[in-house]
Amino acid sequence: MGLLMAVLGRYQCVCLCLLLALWVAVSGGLVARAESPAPTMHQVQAAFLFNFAKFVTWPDDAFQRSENSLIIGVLGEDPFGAVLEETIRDKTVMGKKLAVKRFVRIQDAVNSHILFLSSSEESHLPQILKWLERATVLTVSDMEEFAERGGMVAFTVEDQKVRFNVNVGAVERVGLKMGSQLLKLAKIVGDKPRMGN
Amino acid sequence: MTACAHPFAAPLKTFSRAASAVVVLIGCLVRVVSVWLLTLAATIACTSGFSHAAAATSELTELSLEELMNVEVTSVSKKTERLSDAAASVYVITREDIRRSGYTSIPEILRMAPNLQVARVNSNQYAITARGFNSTTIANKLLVLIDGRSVYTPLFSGVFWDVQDTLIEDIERIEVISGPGGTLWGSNAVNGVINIITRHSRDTTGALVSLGAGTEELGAGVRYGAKLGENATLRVYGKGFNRDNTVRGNGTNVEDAWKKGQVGFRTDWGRGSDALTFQGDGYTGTIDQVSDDSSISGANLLARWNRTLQDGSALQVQAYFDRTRRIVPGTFGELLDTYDIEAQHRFQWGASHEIVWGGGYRLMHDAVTNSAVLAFLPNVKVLRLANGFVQDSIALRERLNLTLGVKLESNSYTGLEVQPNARLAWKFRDDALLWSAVSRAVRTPSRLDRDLFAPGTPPFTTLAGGPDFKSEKLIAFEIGYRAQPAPHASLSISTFYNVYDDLRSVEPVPGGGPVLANKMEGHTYGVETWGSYHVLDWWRLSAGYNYLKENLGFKADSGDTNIAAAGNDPAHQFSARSTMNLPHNLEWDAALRVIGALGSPDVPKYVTLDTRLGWTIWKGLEISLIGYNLLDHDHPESGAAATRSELARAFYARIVWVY
Repeated sequence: MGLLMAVLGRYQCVCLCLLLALWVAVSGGLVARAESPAPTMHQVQAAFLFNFAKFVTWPDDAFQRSENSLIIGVLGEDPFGAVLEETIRDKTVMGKKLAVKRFVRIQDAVNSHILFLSSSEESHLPQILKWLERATVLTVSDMEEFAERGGMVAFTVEDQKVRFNVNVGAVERVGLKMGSQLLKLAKIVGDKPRMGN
Repeated sequence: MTACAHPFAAPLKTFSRAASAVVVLIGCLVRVVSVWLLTLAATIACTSGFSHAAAATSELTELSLEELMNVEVTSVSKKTERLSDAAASVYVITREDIRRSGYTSIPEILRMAPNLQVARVNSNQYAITARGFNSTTIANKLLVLIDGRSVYTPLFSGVFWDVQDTLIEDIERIEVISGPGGTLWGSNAVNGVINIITRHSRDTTGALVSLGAGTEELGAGVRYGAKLGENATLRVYGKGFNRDNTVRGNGTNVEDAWKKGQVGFRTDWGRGSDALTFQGDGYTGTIDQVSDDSSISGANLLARWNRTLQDGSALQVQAYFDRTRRIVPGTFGELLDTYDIEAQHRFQWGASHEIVWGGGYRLMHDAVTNSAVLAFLPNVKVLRLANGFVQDSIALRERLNLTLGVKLESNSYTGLEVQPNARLAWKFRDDALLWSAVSRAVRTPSRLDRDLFAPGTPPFTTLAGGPDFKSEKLIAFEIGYRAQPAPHASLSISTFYNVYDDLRSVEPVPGGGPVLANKMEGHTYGVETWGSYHVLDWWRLSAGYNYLKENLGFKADSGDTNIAAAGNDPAHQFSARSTMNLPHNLEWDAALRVIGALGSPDVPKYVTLDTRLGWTIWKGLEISLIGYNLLDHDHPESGAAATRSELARAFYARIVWVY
């Protein structure tokens, strides 16, 4: 009986392994045929964040509390991994060092200059934006309709290319200036009228 | 009294069985892990990994904005995997769905998941399952978690649904995964996982009062949430209800009315990259019986710590204590203490691997008070569960994701169990995903399978637990498709083919009572499909349909003939829901369910309609009127005609005030 059990268990395991191996062979083939990998969406988004740092102007007092460095913050579950650090490594913008910081709570993130809102924060987006009402923080996210919902820059994907929408009203309300280099490439959107209650 | 049945043989047998199982399973483990490593190596070799990614990243910053706009990207977000990207049959019940359903308990709310089968047995009992095997005591292949705390009972591997509760308004969402989820989620996730997630206390500051009254139920709830200084928030709640008894088909009353009160709290603290959650609940209740009333009570405390590390990886450590006590006079009593600790670490490895690994340990101290009717022997038992798992999600190429994972779990009855799975997701369009999975999952023995004896003293002529009862095994094959065929429409189709072995059977023993063994086997297959459509801005329709075919039988050496013991499932199940936003802050919602007939015991097909009319009088104050089971005077959902409960048409009115 014990032997039977053992044989049965083994048999099933072997089946499973063969299946896995088959799967690997198939997927391995697919991988082998893949060309040199294109960058991921987050690599390109990170490069865009770096460009936002270059082409957005903050009021001078925005740097008083950050020891003259420009802080790119990520609020919530970080989709970038190490990519963001790799992007800004050894880079300066207008004589300011770039730094990446990650935050769990919006209260800690108000001294960022650029703040990427992770999609993990979607459920309390209104509270987050309310908190940032008067902060000179460029808010960026890839949540759906982020710019229409009161955010500033929303990443979108079209034909596998990263695009961005800008809510100019939201940018100007807090005293940020966005360079024409960015604005001419962006899709300009406005606040969506609030529905019902 | 196990001692009575097998004075010395049992421990020896257990030991030798455990030893041989370990040897066999280590062999399997080596194979599975070696295949996994091979895959890993192959994929790393094929995708050039780390250095390439780093190079690409720094090159990207050299590009002009116009050039950057023209760079094509590969996969979408891997880290924060949206459920729409998951290679599994997942349905999410949202907070809004819950509010608009008008349902007042978790089991009723679960009726909204098209990939679950929910049957209300009487006033306080439910049979809930995914992909078949439904019954109150046989529905034992589901893992249910409330904020990460496992609530299935090791007593029979099922769920005592009457004690799984929280303030309904505080539920953020319920994720229902049909199909095996053992690799990541943990033990008992054979046919599905239900993951109930409550709201962050930051989102529940302020006061809430809710009062309800109806033909079958009275209920009230209060919650108050506040900030605790700069970094923390807290909420406390209390609730209570009184639910009426049901009736039999012949009109006589069933003694199953019940009442329960519950209090709880949740506090969240966060600073920088650390987040800490501390929460707990306590409850007590009584259930009418013909003889003395049953009592249920319990309490739990859970702490969870999350840290996001600077390289973007994430660490989670969680620990909880859970005590449940149930006294059913004349039948049995149980006091179960559970201590659980688990940790997991998630990190990105190179450009194309996301790895989650971790482990956990659970200790359950189960003390049963035996009766003349039945006995668990030994009446006090300590169960231990230790596990380790690793899962790698590999971006094979643009839009193609392979997930390989394995969980090793050691339990007190059968030793080491291996639960591997492989999942492939192909997002061939931004709005369409094709997925497939192969998984092995096991249901490890519960106390019922090994330690149950009836009657309560020898000779056990009615039933005896199987000293050799081993794990029930499943190998599942799944293929699914999920899409947004139009901007306002969504669709999901999942199919499965499940091969079961060593399912529980009751084997006659010459000259003695029957003994539990593993001599049932077979396969099941089915389709789960659902979709939703925004007909108009203010009107949404959704529908779901399930088909299930079970082909189960006994092995050649089995003496069991009662295949009905495997569960009682409808072959067809259809549901539809309409939610409308009307003028003057009115909402009108309706839910239709068509549940096919059950075979044995015979339960007729039924069609039922629930509806809710809600009116927001002014901001924060809402009144709603709800009707349940409107299409018939009453109908049964489970059980044999002579002893089952009928569920009557019912009405309920509710007022909720949020400040």
